[in-house]
Amino acid sequence: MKRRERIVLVLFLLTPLLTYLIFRLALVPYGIYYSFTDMSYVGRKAWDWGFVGWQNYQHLLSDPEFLESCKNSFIYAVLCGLVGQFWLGFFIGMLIWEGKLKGGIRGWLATLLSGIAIAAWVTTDTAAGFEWFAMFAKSGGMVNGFLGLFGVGPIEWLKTGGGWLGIPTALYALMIANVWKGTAFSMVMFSTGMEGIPREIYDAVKIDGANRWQEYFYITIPLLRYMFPFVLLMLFSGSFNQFGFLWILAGRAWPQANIGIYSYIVAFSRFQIGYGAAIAVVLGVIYLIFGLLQRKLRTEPEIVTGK
Amino acid sequence: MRRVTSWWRTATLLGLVAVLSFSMLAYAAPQKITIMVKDKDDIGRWQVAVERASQADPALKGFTIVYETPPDVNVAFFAEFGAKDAPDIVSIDSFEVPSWAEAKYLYDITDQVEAWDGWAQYPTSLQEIVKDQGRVYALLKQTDVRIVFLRKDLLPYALGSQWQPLSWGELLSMARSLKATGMEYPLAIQSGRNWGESTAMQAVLPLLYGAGGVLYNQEKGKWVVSSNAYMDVLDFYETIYKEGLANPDVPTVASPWMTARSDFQAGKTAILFDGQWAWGAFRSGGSLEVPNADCNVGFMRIPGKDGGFSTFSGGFTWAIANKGLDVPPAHPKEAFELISAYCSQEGIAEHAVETNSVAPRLDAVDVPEYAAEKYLSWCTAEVLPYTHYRPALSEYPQVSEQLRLLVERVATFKMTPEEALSEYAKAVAQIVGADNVVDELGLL
Repeated sequence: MKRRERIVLVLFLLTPLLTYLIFRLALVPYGIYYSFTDMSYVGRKAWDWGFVGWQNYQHLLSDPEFLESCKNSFIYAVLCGLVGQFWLGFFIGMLIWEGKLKGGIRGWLATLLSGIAIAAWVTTDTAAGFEWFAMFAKSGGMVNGFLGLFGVGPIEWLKTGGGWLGIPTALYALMIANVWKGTAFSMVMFSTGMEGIPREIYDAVKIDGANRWQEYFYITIPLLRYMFPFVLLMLFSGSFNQFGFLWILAGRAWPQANIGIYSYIVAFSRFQIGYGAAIAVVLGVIYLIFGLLQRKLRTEPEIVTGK
Repeated sequence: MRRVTSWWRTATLLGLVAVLSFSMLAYAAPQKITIMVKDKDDIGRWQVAVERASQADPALKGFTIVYETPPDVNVAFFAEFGAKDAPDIVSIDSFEVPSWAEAKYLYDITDQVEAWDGWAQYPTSLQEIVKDQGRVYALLKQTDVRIVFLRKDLLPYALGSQWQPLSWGELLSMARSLKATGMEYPLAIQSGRNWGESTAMQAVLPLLYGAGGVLYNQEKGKWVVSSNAYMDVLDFYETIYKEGLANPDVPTVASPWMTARSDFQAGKTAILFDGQWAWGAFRSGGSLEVPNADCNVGFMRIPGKDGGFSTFSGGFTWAIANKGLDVPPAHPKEAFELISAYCSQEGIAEHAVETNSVAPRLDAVDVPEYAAEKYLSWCTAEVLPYTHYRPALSEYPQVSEQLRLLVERVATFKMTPEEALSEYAKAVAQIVGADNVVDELGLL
């Protein structure tokens, strides 16, 4: 590379790097610092604030709202990511791959299906949030309209109390919306993975008399298993991480919907900056653990070709 | 030698350029006053107010008025204040005045309001609501009141022009006579956590103060956690639900206001405690239109236990902000001229008519446009003089939560009034600290 080219390259890289350093990384120490203070935006503590040690963190442990938001975050991430998006994504991925193999009308349907899933995935959080908000309306909402055809409901979907199995109704609603929205990721991952499995293996088991389901059970799933931890972790942290979508759908009315929303409400609606920062730091630590786990995971297939 | 001369020449030249450009900058940037508004419709009314103020003080014509309409006014304000560039005038909820004043965001306007003739037109409670530690920090531009709505057409007896109950006993006998006609649930009152803050503002607090009680003792600076007035309120609730005068679902359903208001519209309920704004739903063209609403819906003040009336108010204000921490505003005199022009007799009346809200100044009813709004001017003239306001303390939201639980436990028969009040006293003492409560009945 010529010296001149190198300079241009460095200049191009420098701009995003500096932006990231100044507007993101440089603020992290501030956030950690504030989390050890009793700073507030209103009242005397707006100017007369100071260091309070671990007080905010100790308070977290006995704050029922924080504990509720933790519980909701984990339930949401586990049920959406691990249960909903993962297996639904696998199933749709399977249909798409089959469709591609068969071609014809099935191929056409497969393309349509993946198109729809990807469209949901790329819809901005704001638009999707409002869309589901309208669909979940108690009267006149599409979801209750549909259930009404079977004599069910009307259900007050965004109610933060009640619910089944100790999970509030609103959380079910959020999970339905999120599974709809986020399934395309695992679908794309799995259908790509399936395409990478050598055809000869299938031909071999077919000769041995395996049916379609046995093929999946003994060939596809084992050969894709290397992807599972990575996809699961991505889905889990993706749901855990969510803010904008949930904020529009329920957050304003439900501060304990997840940890991120609770942190924002505490800091920018109740104006307790110190305490809000402490919640954000806890969230940051959880992400960090996800990040470290992700680096540990292998993303290479075990078998590249059939031996 | 020659070198020195050229050095001097350059320096002089640069100095001249600097002086010139600075004076040009000063000339090019006229003085400005910045107003941060929450409701964009206020800008039109501001333009009228600025015009009005400029007529009184022509010097204001030399100022450029800049309007800021950020999406999140609070956070925008905090950021600008931090940069020592806060707007001159801000809109805040009256409930936020003390916490903003203590944060040193607001400029003390006590001396200015005392020299202003409009101040005396605000009822005492609405003067107190904009104070912190006895100093004034804002002017109310708009307010609200709580009343009792009545379906006059459903009463089994003829009403004269006066149907206002003068005590809780009269209100209850009105409900009983309706019950006797076969109406299942003649009365609807906020009775639980499901109503949120409405339970405190629309019902419990007006009743408590109407029975001679208080929630917070200003002089002692302590929360009153038990008193005879509390017991009176709880007995009132118990009577209502024991006699089946109110729908037993109302304390627990998910959207109780919808249940209560649609029952009122459908004629299943004839007496409804609510905010004055609920009229917007019942009047002709409203979302829950009552047939022939102008004739059939009556408005009553919330009676006191044995006489008198009571209500609660809040509202939005205009305040003058400091530029930054310990940096006073650049033009406090002009800023006050502007907010007092907005809150003038005509300004307040215009605001109330255009936003369909209650005018906080008593003399607004002398403005023909506002007087023509019979209902709103009734609220100002007849209800506002009896108003109270919530203690704007940081513990209030949690105490209010306990108030809701208090009446919910009685309304759903989970506890007797004595037991419920005892639980309430304990919970509030825990929230505000045992040293900060007055326990008149010795329940702790």
